[in-house]
Amino acid sequence: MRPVRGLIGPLVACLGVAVFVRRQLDVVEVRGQSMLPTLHPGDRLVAVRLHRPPRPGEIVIAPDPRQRGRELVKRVLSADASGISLRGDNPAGSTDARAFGAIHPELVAWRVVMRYWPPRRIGPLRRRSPVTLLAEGGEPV
Amino acid sequence: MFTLRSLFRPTRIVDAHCDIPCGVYDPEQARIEAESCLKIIEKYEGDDDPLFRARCIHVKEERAELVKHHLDVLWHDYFKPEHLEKYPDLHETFWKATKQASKVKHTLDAGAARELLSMIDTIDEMWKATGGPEKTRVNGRPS
Repeated sequence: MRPVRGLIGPLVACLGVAVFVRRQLDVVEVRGQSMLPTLHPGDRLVAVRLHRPPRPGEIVIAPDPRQRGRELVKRVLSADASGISLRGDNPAGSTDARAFGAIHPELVAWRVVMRYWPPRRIGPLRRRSPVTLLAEGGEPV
Repeated sequence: MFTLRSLFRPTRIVDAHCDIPCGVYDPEQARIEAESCLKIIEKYEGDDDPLFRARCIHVKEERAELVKHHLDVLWHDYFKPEHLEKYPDLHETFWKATKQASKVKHTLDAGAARELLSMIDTIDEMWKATGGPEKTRVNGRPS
């Protein structure tokens, strides 16, 4: 009995850590082309839970305001009193804030931090300045 | 089948979504269907043949449904939040116009059909004032 009892503590601790990690980290797969050239369809990403409002330039996951149950991956173009405006890195092929308006900051709960698949494109996904985004045609149409 | 690959495949899918809209919008599309409704109601009134009248009702309901469809597409695909700032009564206008299209669908009231036409004309003005002809038609609206 003694060796078993000795294992209970570490097991509970491991479970606790696993549950905590699972709530804060997730992996997702990209579908669609609106985030080209940054994200390709089929890319797999690591997302972390946000505990603050998203910042311009970050890639985030947000619920689709027009279709319940669907989640979108987009870049934050601006964050102000009206809410979070999302934009695809491929503005010509993206349905985003131009179509559905701003989103409440609290709904944007996940930030994408890195790509882990495919192996040849593993790496962090950095924040890009809104100035660059605007220069590339990110302004509202 | 369970594979090592599927074990690491995320179950959560995020959409880098695009509607791929064709980007062509024109209230004229709704207006032509609404004009059909009015003409059909007038033809209905001028003919006693029950078969012809039944066909009129059938076709008019079909056309009225198309008016609603075309107005809906304009409403949620063409008009954007910034247009709402310019026209705060945009939602109200569309709501009333689509309701009017319903009325034309289930009545034989020529007056209701004329009213629908004038509501579509109001929407047409909004479309023109927001640059619709230049932005959404290939070579502007044909004159």
